[in-house]
Amino acid sequence: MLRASAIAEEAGVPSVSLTCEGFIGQAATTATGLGLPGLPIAVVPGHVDVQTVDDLKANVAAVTVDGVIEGLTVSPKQAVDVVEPEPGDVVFEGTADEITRFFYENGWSDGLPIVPPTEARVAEFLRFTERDPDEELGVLLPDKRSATVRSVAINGVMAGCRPEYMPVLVALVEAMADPRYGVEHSGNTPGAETLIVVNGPIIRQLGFNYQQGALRDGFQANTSIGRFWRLYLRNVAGFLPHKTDKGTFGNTWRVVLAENEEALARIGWTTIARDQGHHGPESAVTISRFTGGTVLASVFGTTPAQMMPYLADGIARLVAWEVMFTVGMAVGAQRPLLVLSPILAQALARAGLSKQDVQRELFTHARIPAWKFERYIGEWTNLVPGRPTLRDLVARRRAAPVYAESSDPERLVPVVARPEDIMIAVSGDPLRTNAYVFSHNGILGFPTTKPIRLPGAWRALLAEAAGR
Amino acid sequence: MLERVLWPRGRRTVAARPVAPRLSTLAGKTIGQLWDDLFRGDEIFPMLEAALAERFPGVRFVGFRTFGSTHGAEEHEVLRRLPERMREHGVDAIISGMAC
Amino acid sequence: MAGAARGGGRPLTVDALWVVLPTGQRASGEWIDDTLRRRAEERGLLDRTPLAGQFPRHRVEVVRAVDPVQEVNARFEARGWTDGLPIVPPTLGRVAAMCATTMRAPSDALGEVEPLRGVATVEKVAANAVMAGCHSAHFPVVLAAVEAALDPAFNMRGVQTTDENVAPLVVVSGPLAAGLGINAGFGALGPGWRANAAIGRALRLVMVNVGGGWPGAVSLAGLAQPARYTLCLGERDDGPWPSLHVELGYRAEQSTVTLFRAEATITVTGGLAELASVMASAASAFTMRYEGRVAVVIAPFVARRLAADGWSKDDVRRALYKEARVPVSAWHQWWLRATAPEWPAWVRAAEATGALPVVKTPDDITVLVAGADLAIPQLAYFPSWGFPPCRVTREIAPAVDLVG
Repeated sequence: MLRASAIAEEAGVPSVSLTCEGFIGQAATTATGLGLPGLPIAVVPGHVDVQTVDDLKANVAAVTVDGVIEGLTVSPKQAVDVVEPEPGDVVFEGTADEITRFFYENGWSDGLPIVPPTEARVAEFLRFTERDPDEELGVLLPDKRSATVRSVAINGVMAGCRPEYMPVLVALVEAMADPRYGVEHSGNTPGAETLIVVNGPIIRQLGFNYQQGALRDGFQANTSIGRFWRLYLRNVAGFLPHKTDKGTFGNTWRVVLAENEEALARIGWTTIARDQGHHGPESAVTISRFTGGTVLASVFGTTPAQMMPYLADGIARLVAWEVMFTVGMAVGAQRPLLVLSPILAQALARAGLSKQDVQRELFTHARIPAWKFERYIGEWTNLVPGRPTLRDLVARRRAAPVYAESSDPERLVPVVARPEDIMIAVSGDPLRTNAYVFSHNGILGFPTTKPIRLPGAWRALLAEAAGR
Repeated sequence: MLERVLWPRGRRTVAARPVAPRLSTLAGKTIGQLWDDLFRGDEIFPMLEAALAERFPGVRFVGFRTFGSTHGAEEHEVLRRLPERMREHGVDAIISGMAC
Repeated sequence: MAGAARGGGRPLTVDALWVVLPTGQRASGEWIDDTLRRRAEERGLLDRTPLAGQFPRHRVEVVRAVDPVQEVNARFEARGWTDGLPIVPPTLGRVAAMCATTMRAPSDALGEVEPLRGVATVEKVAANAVMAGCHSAHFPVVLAAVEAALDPAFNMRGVQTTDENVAPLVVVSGPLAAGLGINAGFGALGPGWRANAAIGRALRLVMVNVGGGWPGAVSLAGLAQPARYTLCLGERDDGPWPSLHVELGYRAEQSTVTLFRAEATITVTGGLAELASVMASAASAFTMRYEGRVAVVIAPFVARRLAADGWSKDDVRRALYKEARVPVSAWHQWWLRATAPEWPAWVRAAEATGALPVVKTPDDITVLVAGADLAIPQLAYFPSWGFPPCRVTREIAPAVDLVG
């Protein structure tokens, strides 16, 4: 991996990085982002996952060995800096149509029309933050570009956000830049996509939809902020399809999910933000990255005992191969998200269950046989190499003891490490007995929460915006 | 109506640096292996070892298990300790995989 | 988008061209022009390219002017992106039409072009092909030629940076040659046929713009040669002998591009003896020194007479190999002999015989039939330069027909 190679180089140790043929461009780009454009690579022809051992051997012998020797013994060319515009430079003058086209043809847009990011529109956004426009919120991998407040405004304008969304956008970029999230993984081949969950008074202040159609387009706050996220990943983090973004299929942006906080308050359940450790009264955003999701429709039953097995089955089914983030590659990093419609949450709460109780119940039921768990990680995929059994992994401390309670392959094992790892949100049509489960990409987009900081004149500014 | 629009990207923060000096030969050197537990590195590293040992007398290897996986929940810790570990084992060069 | 600009009295209409920038960018993001500007400055060459490195660092530039074609030309020339002749602006539409003839994606990389290692994506090659004057139908040939040029055997780095005058020779064999109007007959080595002119020129523009082969700054050829504008011809398929691509094992219905490194183009009128005498001159110095592969063109008139006498291409090769011998005394006078003391073992071995073969084996001579069908015995010889031995062939993928 290139980050490791960069560290070796910085410590004065020459390195060479084994790179599959299809990854060469991305490797070079990543290397530039690490400040080492000359970082030597040795190519492994083709892609290793589809080669027989003999083919792999032949390819390594024919190409990779020489690449390794050259990489360690031949000085790469002297590095040169990349000349680009300065952030905030005027790059074009034209009509709205031309601007949309110009941004698209230069790879700065997603293919839909953008709102032209003029100085004036950007200035409107900047009124909704007290931070300096040149303040750096973070440095984003893979390009290692500086994420300034001004660039947040520029991309917010482009996405079709309103100026009053700016505090949310700033918080989102702070979350994106937090190493805990792991934005550098956002171009991985599984192609997962972020879900943003918003909590707090800002939900109603900005008109986020949290009722029927909570995950559907049609509401400017939810939709444009979701779009902003992907534009920012493209323009400032530097994820471009066919280059640094290698998602096999990928997803488009998800609309922002706002929780139904009235419903939560009525049943005394905590919000996502609160579960994440955000105790303040301020609003907050939580980002996490999911490979997919599905509806658990028509949840039938009036008691938890009737409802749990179906909900738990949904969780177990959707975690699937991503149990590799529960054991193996990571331990306890799987955070599936279950979204309950308010009526389902109320039914569970009426039976006396807190959110934490529900998590415990789900933990008990969301289980799969050990043999299937082992197939996911070591036979159908090779994502935890060496075909380990769960008992091996427990011995190596790559799995919690619960996974080795016996050696019966039919024994049921949990798909997450702890009950509280099952995240639960409440939103959607309050009167429909549907739930939604998201499958989580583990440490490759780990749940990260940031408070939303508001300017001192927030109320006045909002009132002014409402009058527009 | 014509509008003037701004560049939406960010400034690259890292000025390019030259890499560490290369070795003149691999003979007699200690090569550390770094692996991210993916893409059959466990098969490829032994192939490389055999080929390099044939060509370079006295080359020795420090296996990837010594350093820990460079991609995973422990990655930050592994990378943080890497310089120290390389020193401990007298590593002269690194082969790192797998970028796929 | 048409707009109005103030002229002296009558309002002028300003038009816009949206062009794809043809210049090289490395995999790590650097633009090769930044290095080239430095080199040009060091060597006092900015007069030729006063705007070197001055262009928007994007994929697309919008050029607005009363005469945007003229303006694009002026900018590109001043930036060092032309061969000195006017170019066709590589507009988004023209580049897209070019890219549509291949199943490869525009962002697919054919490879890095030495010495400055700009990435030759399908799109960059297409932009340069448009500039060169290619029609979309020519693009598959251009792609095959660029692929061949990126083969290590072509030694792009050497060709771009040497102080010798070598130029790529592009030979097209198979049905697509005639199908695309690539002239193999009258005036095959000269002007007048768009395909010949543009395909060879496209390769040159890729070498300059994506690889950075700027004359004087990176390319140190003392004289260069006219073939550096373009050198591309077809092989006649109506000769008495199998075409080159069939000789190389391709099926007759396939079409190929074959690339040589040509140190010179020497036309000769006469028989094989005259051709051999030209081969056995100092023109072949680099061929001998680096064990090169040479090409000879034989006019159909000559080929038919040889074939009637029972000669095959192999017989021609063997005859030339045997006859084209440099007297050792002459060889001792060569500048290259004095400058480069190491010569191949087969040259050394032949010293005792008093006459040195020009190539290592007869197979290092490629025989092509091209030119007018006249009763005049015209031939041509292309000595080679550099190492390793170069005769690189790539199949031409037929153009994708996306319209119905």
